[in-house]
Amino acid sequence: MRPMTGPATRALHDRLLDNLASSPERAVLRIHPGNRSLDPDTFERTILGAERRLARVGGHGERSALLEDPNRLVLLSARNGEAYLVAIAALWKRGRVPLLADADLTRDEIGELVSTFRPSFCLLDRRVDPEGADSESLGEMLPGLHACLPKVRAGVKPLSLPDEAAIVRLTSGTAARPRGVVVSVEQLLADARQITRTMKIEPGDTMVTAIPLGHAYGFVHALMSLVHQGTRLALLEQPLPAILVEALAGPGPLVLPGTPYLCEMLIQAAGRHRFKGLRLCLSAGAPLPEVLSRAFKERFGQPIRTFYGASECGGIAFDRSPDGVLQDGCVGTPLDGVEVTIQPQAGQENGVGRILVRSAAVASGYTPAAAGDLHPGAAGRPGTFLTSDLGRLDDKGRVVLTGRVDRIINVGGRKVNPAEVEALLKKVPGVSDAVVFGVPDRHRGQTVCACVVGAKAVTREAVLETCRANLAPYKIPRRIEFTARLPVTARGKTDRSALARLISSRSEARP
Amino acid sequence: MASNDISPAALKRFIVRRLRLDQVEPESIADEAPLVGGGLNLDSIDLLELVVGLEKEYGVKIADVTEGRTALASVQSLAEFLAARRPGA
Repeated sequence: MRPMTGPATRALHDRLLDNLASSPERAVLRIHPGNRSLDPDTFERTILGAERRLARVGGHGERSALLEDPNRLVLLSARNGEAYLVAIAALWKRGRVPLLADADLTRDEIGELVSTFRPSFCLLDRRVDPEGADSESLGEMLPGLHACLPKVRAGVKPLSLPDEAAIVRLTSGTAARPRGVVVSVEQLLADARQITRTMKIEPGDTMVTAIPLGHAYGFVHALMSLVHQGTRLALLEQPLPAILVEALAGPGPLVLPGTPYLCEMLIQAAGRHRFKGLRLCLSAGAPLPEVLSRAFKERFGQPIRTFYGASECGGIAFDRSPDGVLQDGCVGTPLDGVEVTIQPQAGQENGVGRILVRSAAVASGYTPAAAGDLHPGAAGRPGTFLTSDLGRLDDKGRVVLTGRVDRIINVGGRKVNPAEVEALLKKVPGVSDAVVFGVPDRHRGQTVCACVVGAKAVTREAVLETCRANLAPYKIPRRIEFTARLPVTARGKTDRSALARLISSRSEARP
Repeated sequence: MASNDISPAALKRFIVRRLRLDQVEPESIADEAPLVGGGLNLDSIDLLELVVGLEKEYGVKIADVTEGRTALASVQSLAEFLAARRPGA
C-alpha cells in the first residue's frame, strides 16, 4: 500500500494505482471501437504525464499559479474515453475536486455553471469558450481535453468545499439553477462497496461501459468499481450499436450497466450473437417496461436487472428476484447496507409516500449550500436522504415507484427542470406564458413538452431557435403546443391535469 | 428486407417515422439542414435510433463515430452515404 499523505482525494488515486499494480490481468482497460487495450504500466504513466501537465495549467513559466490556488473545484465536461479516467485520477492526486457536468451542455449552460460554481478552471472535450472571447484557453491537457480559465478570477471567492470532498455532482434544483451535490471519498467508496457486494460484481469482471462516466450511474458502476476493487473496464467512446456488439462479443465475464433504450437497441442490433460472456445486464435511469424485460430474457436467456439510485445518496435498490422480470414501477429490494422507509405524504394512500434512504453513501450536502432533505452522517456512519420519489414497499419488501413530488422531468435518466425551460421560453419575443412538463416516451421514459401562450406571429421555429441556442438537446421540448390561454384551477394556479388532457386529446386527433 | 428508396424524400419519411417526430412534416426538412443542432433537435438517443434503423431498414452498418457523424450530418449526406455503402452498391 502507498503511504497516506496529502489531500483526502489522494486516497482514491492511490487505491486505483494499488489495484492496477496488483491486477493479474495485463489489460485493465479496453477502448472501443478498435478493442485497443491498455496495460497497468501504460495507464499509470499516462496519469503521471497528465498530472505534470495539470501542474503547469495556468502557469506561464515552470510553476503554475494554480498550484497555489485554494479553489479545488475543476469543471469536467467530456464524453467517455481514456482521457476522462486519466483526468479524474490526475485531479484526485492533486487534491482537486471534479465537478461532473453533462457532455452535451451548450456554451451558455457551461457559462451558467461557471458563474454558479466558480471553478478554478474547466476541462472540456470540445472547444467551448464559456465566457466569450476573454476567457483564456490553456491548450490541451490530455489528448482531446482542453483546459480553459474562467475570465473573472481576481476577487472571486471560491465555493467552500469540505476537506473530504471527492466529486461534485449536478442535480436539478427547485429553482431554475442547478445545484451541486458534494460527495466525499468515504461516501463514494461506500457506494461502490454496497453496489458491488449486492450485485456480486467481482474484480475479475469487465464492466462494459456505454453509459456516460459523467453521470452518477456510470461514475459509480464503472469508474468506482475500478477504483474500489480493480474491476476492468471495456470503455465505449460512443455507444453505437455495432461498437456495443463488438464489446459484448469479447471475453467474459461481462457486466453491462444499461438503460432501457440500450437494452432495446441490443435486441435489435445483436444479429446472431447470444453474448455468452454477458453475466449481468443492468438497467437504470428510466422505468424498465416489463415487456422489454421479457423480450430481452427470451432473446438472451437472462433478465435485465433493475437498479435504482439517486445523485444525493448513490445506489438504493436492485432487483434480486429469481426470474428477474418485475412489474412496471418495481425496482427491487434495498442494496446491502441501505435502509428504505416510506415517509407518509399528505394526499397519498395505500402506503404511498416519499422514499427515505439511510445509507453510508448519502452525500455530504449541497453546494452552493442549500436547505435540502439531505442529512449526512458522521464519517462512515449512515446519513439520510429524503428523495423526491413517491412509492411504497410491497409485501416482499420491494420498492415500488409511483411518481414524484416535484415537477422534474426524467429524460432517459437526465433530469430536466421545467422552471429552467419555462424561464427561457418566456424570453422568446411574443410569448406571454409557458408551462413545461413531461410526457411519456417509449425510449426515454419521458420527454419535454411545452405549452406556449403567445401572439399569433410566434412560430414553433422561433421557439425552437431560442431553445437550440441555449439548451442541451435533451432539454429542448420535443413537443410544442400553442394555446390561447392556460387552464387554471379554482385557486388560480395552472391546472396541470387539464393541460395533460389537452395534450393527449391533441395527440389522439393526429392521424 | 432492405429498402431501395434512398431519395431525399424517402429518407425524410424514414427519419420522421423512425423517430416518431409527429410534429414534423417530412417535406419541411431541408436537404442540407444539419440534423444535429439544426431544425430537428435530435438528441443522442435519436442518433442511435437512426443508426439502428439504417442497419435494419437499409442493411448498412455504422461502426465508426466519424463515419456516423459524416453520414448523419444532413439528409443530403445520408443519401450520398447510402448510395456508396448499400449492399450491392
